[in-house]
Amino acid sequence: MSSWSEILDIELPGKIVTKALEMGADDVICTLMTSNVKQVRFANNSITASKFWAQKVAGIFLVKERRVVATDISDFSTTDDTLQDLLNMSKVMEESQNYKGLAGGSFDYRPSAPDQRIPQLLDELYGYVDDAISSALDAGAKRVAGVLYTSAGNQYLCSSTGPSGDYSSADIEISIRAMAANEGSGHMVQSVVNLDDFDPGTAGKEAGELAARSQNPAIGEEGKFDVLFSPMPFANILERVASSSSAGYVDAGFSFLKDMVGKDVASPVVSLADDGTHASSLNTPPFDSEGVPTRRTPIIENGKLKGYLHNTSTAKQFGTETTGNAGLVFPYSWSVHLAPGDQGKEELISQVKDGYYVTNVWYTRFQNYQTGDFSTIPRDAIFRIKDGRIVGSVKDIRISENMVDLMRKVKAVGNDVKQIHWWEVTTPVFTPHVLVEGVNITKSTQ
Amino acid sequence: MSIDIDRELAEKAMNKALDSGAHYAEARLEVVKASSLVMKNGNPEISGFERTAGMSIRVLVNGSLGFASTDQLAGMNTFECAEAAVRMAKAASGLTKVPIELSSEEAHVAEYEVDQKKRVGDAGPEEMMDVLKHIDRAMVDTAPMASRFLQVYAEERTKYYANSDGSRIGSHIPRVGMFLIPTIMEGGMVSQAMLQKGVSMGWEWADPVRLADEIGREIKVTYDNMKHGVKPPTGKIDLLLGPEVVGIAAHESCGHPYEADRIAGREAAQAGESFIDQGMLGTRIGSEVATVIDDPTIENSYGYYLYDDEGVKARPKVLIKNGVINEFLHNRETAVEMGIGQSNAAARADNFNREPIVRMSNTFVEPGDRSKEELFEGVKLGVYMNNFMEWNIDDKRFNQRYIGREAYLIENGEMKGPVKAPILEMTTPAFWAAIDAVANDLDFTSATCGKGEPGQGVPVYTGGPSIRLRDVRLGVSQ
Repeated sequence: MSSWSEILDIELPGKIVTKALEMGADDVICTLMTSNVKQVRFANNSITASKFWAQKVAGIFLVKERRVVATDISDFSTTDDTLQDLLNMSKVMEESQNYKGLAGGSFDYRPSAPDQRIPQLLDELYGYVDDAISSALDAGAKRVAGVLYTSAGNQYLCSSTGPSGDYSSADIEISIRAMAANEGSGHMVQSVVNLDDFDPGTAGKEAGELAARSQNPAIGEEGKFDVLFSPMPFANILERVASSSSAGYVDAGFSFLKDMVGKDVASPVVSLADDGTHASSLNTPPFDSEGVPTRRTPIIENGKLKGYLHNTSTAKQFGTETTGNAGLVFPYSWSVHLAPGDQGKEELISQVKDGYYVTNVWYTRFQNYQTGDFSTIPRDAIFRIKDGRIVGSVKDIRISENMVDLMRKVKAVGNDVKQIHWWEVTTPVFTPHVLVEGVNITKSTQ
Repeated sequence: MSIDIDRELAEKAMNKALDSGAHYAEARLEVVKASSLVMKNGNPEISGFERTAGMSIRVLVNGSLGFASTDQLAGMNTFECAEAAVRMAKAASGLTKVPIELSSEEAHVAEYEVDQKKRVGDAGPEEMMDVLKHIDRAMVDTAPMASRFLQVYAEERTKYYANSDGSRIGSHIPRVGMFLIPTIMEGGMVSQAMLQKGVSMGWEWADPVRLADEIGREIKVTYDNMKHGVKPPTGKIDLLLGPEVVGIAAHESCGHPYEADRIAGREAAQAGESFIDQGMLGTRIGSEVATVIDDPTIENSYGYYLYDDEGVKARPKVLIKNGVINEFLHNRETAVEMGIGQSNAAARADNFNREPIVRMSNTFVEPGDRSKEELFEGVKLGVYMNNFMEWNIDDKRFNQRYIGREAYLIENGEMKGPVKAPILEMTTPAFWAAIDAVANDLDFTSATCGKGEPGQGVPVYTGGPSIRLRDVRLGVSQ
């Protein structure tokens, strides 16, 4: 092959796989990703940077006599040398006992239909930002910061064991943090795949309202309190639950769900699923990294852990079937969905006798992934609730808990599902408000 | 220096940006050659390599900042990248209410590299496997392991930076490191460590026997703590912190809140702001013995560089000097915004496709002249926390929490048995004010610092000597 750079994108993975097999590989998967991403960053009510990224990169996963090697390539003129280097690397690698083959067969994939208007946007982006900033200021904020993204891309996959497919995607999202006077702040995000659903003004307004309402916070109290989580902070929690359900994480010691299948890992009101097919999600590829069609996979049903997320190798290791969640080394979730309940936010607040309403958290860190001991820090608007009413705002508290304990203490799940995806939550999570009883709150000792 | 990249691409793209209307332009061309190996529970999972090349262009047009990057360097791609950066900046000009300016800096023409006794490019899977096998064996021989996740990596990064002010800087920096998560389990008790090591030097750093000895010690003390650790004391005590804990505090509780872009609000929607404001320069925040420095010029350090990613010559920055807030970390943008005149070379980008922003390098508490043992003297009841596991800090960097993995009780000046999971949970001013003694045992820990959007992980050292905090109340567990 003399001119790899001239091959059409859609044909490139197949040609690379064919060449690798000719050179002696046993199993090969090549995935080509092309993307254009635009970003507008803003702070102090002004644009701070406008960025554009163009990317074209192929991932090559190659197995020779159970020796697993991989690389990424963006200079395609070096493809022949790269494949030879991979094969040379496989000769000095040792056999992987955990590699148990790739998914085989041929599949019909769900067609993708990205909103073609999104990648065309440029001047409009600044109008969206202006709308978000103005709405936050109108709601009472003094300073506004955030980021707007548009992403559009194509992915082409070919596996030596049969699967082959391609899809396109596009999305637009905004993350906006509003700061009011006197330490008030609020944060809101919106992520959509259909431009008609994009409403940056509402996101700005909600962030601004939270900022205005949370001014003059008192220092919070430590102890056990009922905590109502809005979708942003609870998405942060659920993303960790979903990643812990990866069989690869379980095997590596990164999971608090080890040896818990069939057991109660959450309250009976909790049903959680991974869903690679949800039409509104930012991350619903028709196939996984092995070419297996993605699907909806229950993780927790009525509080019981149903099973783990798998690729072909982990499924064989655990004696089950793939769930269409490959990751070629670690299976991972596509988007996380908490089944809604039937109560609204105000109804949930009315149930809290003595507690907090938390609207954002960050810096969730584990003491031990396997035990699930962790802490996370509420930020932005935190409200004190007494006798079913918000009575003021607070600051300087920390949630110091155990993941399984926390999930078991869920008292009620709201009905207002929102997709959360931002700097702190990198897998899209769909969750409503969630009320948790007896959450351990700590604060600085001095 | 072996820089196998076509520097003319950067020159032409920069000129294209200027021709397209930019008032200022800079190009950064980077080539990375890296390899890594992952071993899980003694099984070699995957070995891989990376060869990436790409370029970014950053421009100023009428006070608006535009940035674009491409990983396709052939044909017209780099010109299109330059045009895209200008186009993005022009589109933003109507809403850039606060025009962005960059400080005027001396133009540098320079080349530098890190010597390698054994080139990291020569480290293949066999060498990497040998290192991980030694470490894995040390773990298994030392404690009952529930799981072991081990990763070793090595990279060579060749960079060429050019700006329209006349700077032309080439560099070639090798980095080698590893990331390990061993989990110990016995009798229903579980303990886990998250260990990272890294340097800027050749593969000669990766001596399997030495690394296995070092990791074996970490496993032993973690196992001893799990088996024999007792509850930490309640009430006020003296708290001695080892270099690893002092390092994370220097990084999280001094370095981050002294980043001028945080202080100015530019990171507000991501990594947050700072409880420090510009008016606090020159005011006291800690005791006389507390001095904190950020120095990118330490040879072979993980956060090493001699020129930052805006072409400014690096120097040590004294952030806290004898307890007084002395200096912030600046790039060329914040230097103008805060009116200090010139950057102090804290601008870093973690790859060609990322914007340079204000970052730390090697941040540490300056050592004193007393031995660690002297710090134990006079402590009636205390805890010595040598390292940590869980940590976090709020987005203004005011309330922090560090939980000890290896810790011991101190009674009447003597170190006794292990203490389980002591919690330091206190405010930043209280922390720096409580230090009454600083030892001379300076040591560094490698880490990857996250910031920016999209997120950028840059290699850093955190460090310090052992220090003593007087009259501290430990936090309560759940």
